[in-house]
Amino acid sequence: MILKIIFRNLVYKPLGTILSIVLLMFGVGIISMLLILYQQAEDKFNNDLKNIDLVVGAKGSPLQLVLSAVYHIDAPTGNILRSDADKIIHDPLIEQVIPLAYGDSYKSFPIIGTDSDYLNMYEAVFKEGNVFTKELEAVIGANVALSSGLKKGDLFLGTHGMGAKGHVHKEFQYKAVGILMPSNTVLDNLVMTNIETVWKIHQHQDKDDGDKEKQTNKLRADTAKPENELTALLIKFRSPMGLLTLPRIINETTNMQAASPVLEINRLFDLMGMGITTIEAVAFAIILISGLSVFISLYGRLQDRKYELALARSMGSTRLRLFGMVLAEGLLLSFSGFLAGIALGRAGLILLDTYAVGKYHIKFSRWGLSRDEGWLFLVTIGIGIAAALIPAIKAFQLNISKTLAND
Amino acid sequence: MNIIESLNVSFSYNDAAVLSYPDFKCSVEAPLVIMGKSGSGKTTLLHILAGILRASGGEVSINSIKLNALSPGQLDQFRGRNIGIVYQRAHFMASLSVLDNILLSQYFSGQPLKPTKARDIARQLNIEQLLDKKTMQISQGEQQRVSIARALLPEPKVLLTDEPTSSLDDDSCLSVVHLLKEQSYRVGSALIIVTHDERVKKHFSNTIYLR
Repeated sequence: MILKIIFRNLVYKPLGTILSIVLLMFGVGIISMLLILYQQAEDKFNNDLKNIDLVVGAKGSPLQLVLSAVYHIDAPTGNILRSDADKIIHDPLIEQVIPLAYGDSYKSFPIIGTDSDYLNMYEAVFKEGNVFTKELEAVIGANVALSSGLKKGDLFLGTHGMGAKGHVHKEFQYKAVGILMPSNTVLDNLVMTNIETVWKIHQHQDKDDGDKEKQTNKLRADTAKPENELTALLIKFRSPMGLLTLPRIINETTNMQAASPVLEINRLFDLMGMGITTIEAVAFAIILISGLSVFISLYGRLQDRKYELALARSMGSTRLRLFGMVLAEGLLLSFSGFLAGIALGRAGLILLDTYAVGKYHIKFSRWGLSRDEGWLFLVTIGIGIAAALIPAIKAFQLNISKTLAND
Repeated sequence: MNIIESLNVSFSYNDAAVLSYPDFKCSVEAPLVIMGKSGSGKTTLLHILAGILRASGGEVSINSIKLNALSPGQLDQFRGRNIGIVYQRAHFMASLSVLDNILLSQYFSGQPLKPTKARDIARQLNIEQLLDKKTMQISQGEQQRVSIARALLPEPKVLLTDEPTSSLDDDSCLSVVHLLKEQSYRVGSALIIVTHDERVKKHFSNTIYLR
């Protein structure tokens, strides 16, 4: 019965109730979505970072180097000479060096020239086939396979550069020799082949478009001569000592640059964090306003319902019970607002998910409540209780004789 | 057997203007009419009898239990179980149906809900067809019957009514008086009518006047 009374009261004058719930819904929805996005982005970035202590590439922005060489979400800073690279990779502090050479793309997924260590580093598991052994053999990441439908044994052509309308290397057909299982790492969105393949295709391309484009595209000069060039090196050290000495040596004595991915990514997240803090503050303001609206709607209703409450008292209800009833209304409002908000946040994620997979090759998932959302829940309920407290105290203190006499 | 007794009861707002009330007793067999003009403290007395206000002096006892001896919480519960009140103007929880409003008295007094019994009483009061409506949708006369049904459902020891006939024509006045007498007797409640309506007293042998 008490639930019925509370529920009926809430739906009897629905405007205030709806306003409160909608405000709460947006506040909670925005925050929950942000929390999840931020968490997942951080997880994903850190996940892709494992075993990479240092990235070495052409001079330029260190952040760009990290974003391009580790996450493949930015253009490379340029290429480095293999001979330069050879000078540093024999340092005794280095445990492992993985070379990367960029060149082509397949349906806007990058084709990376590398070696099998790269796959091992991310603990790649083959769905079918195995790793490349010869030139023009390729291993296909899970998302690439999913979106292109490539299967083991299929032949395909690469496009020069990252654009969808670049030059297609018609003379060279890649052969898919292995398809990877989804790993939730960058491998999902890559086509991998050996370094020699990248060199071979671009050596040829020099001749190929040399005649046609010699005068028109001088800017291409540095990328159009990729023979014996690499794009980046991913380095793992034997001891943290390496991180102290080697970056300085590289940055100061060679024309390459070394960047620590952890440092750069932390910097990036600090920057993002500022934006996120701002949005979170706005969302919290929305939640506070919704708390105010819960207060106003409960308080306003209390004025209308003074007689009802007095009536309840005259029929035997104790003060405490009325206090609880008003408080429960506030609780129910904030609880429904929270649920609606979480639902909205998840709906937003689903939308973003479909959008992001197509556009950014990013996949979001996670359905349970995160720990931060647990806090959000407590805050929301707390605001609901705080908003209901004054009306509840008013109900507690109601002078029923005066109320009943003043009809 | 006397159910409700009032002895030397007085009441004062802010230590000024003391109202003192005559002593009286009331039983199921002998309903009581308390007559008084406006401003004579009728509603105040009704609230004292109902335990909504505390008397400044003297005492009210119901079934030999002194209201002044009860704590506020106990008083609320005691009122719920033992006292039914019909107000001058009927008031309801507007969001609930007529049936639920009748059941409220059982709910708030802590008794198990008995919708069948509520329907029985509604049938006695001829409002059975209104049970699913909202209280705003029915006439004032009907609202009064609903509040009588609500007051009687927990089978209170005392039924207090405040000006039940003041706005009614003679015919309706008569039928409400009969209804109250009949139904309170059937349920076993001692009936007290507080009113200034001269038409009421001739139907009762037991009348006191407030000055």
